[in-house]
Amino acid sequence: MLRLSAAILLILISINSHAWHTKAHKSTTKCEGVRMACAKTVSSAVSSTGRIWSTWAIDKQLYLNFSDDIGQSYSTPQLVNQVPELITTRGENRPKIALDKRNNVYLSWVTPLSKRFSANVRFSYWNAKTNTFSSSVTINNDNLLTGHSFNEMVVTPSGDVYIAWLDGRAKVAAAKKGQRLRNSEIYLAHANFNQGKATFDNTYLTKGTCVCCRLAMDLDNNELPMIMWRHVFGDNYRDHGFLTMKNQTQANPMKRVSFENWQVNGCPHQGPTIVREVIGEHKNRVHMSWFNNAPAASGLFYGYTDDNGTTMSHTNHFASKDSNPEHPFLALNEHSKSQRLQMVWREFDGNVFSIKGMSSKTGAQWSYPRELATAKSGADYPYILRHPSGNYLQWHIQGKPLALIKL
Amino acid sequence: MKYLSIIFGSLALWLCSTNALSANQLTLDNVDSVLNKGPRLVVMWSLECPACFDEIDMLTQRLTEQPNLAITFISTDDDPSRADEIDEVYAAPALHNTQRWVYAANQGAQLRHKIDPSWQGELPRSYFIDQAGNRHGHSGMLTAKQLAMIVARIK
Repeated sequence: MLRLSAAILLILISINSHAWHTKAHKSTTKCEGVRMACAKTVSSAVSSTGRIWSTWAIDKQLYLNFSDDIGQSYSTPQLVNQVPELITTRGENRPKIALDKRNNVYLSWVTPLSKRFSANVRFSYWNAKTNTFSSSVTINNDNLLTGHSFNEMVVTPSGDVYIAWLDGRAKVAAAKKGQRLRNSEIYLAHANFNQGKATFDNTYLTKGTCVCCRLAMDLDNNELPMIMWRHVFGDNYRDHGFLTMKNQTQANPMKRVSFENWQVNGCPHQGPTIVREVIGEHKNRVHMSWFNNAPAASGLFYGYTDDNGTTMSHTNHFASKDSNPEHPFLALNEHSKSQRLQMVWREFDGNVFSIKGMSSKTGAQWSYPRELATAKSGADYPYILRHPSGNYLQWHIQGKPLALIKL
Repeated sequence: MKYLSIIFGSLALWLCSTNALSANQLTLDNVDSVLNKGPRLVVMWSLECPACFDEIDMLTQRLTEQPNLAITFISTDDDPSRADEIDEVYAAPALHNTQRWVYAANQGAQLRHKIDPSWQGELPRSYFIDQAGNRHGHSGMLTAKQLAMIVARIK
């Protein structure tokens, strides 16, 4: 009788488990295999020779592959992390990739930990000379079970690696005092493997940031990082801050660079984008774009600064909220003096995702936005790849080959 | 026979409790029916939104005091691989009398647009649905005053 009961119990457990499984997954279209097309997100960078390097994650593994023919064919994916670990690949919190002039490939990602909203920033690099990956290491050096996420990375031609992220170590310290911090801090780590500095130090930059939006980074004229982020001003006004560095470990004071006054006690999930002009009359002009959603100012905005954020240009509100615009991405176009700047973003009309793009000589005036691509579903955010043959829109749609569209 | 009764009794309890934790899938077909019946408070949240957990904690406390408040929770995480994490949130005993939903896979943008084309995705996002079925949206955490006003109409 007991055996019969146990058998019935097992059958019922099986039925119940299957019911839950079916409920949760019934509308999933499964994309299988270790294929870039099946990854949720793809991040890419281009070498001076035109090789497009892409990194993406499948089932606790980060992979790296490349294309020498602008996406017509790809190398066999190489495994980056030898020990499997969770890898965040959602929204704006996704793996990052950058190259130096020796074509070493630097990779950084976030691995979530056991406690909710706790994670570590991780790093590995592929040495072009030895054709090997370094062991994966944790960048944040506090050894605390707290938030370290929304990593962003820039690498100088000579191999100075800068990684910035939203850091929660101050929340732990506050909690020990019975206090609660709702905002994050920004920390910066630096290393240079070409020069033998193989350990990342951690430098505190600023506090009071929003906790759930990407950072934006570029390099200044001295090859030091510049960072823009969504900050929390006053009573939950989520506008943007910007800072430059005095040297590798000391930040200049933050400057406020957006003024829409979006007051929300919550998560916008939309961070900014920046790029610095590197030649010409407007060399060192920092171009910025961001999303905001204040009652009188909602959608996508553009502005620039010629003095590292002390003063800002007129703000260009170029996409209204009616088209659900999001995730702008700015890049320089090395192939056109008349249209030096390019910007892409995503819109959604309820049925179709579309990527819009426009260009500008200096940032003062922009071309009329045009539609570059559309998709019904599975559409990732758009990025611009700066290729020697011209800039390309990168748009990943899960289950399909990576779209690379000449701009 | 006695053992069999105990086993089936335990099994029945287990099945009930397990089903109580399961979130229903919100789809383009059923979303209007979920958001059209008032008076009710509908709270949109995500595993990626720390402020949402503050809001859920606040509502959990209120539901512990008033278990029959007409509140609906909707997880906007349209990634089936996170079902267990969502289930864990919904496992709080105070939420057992509430309606609990999760976005269908890869339908985040579509559902967001159908719920409210003017909503840009910020979270938490809540809607007070009045007796006539009109939706009154709010972005960010509800203040204690706002919640008190809504509770007075959904209890």
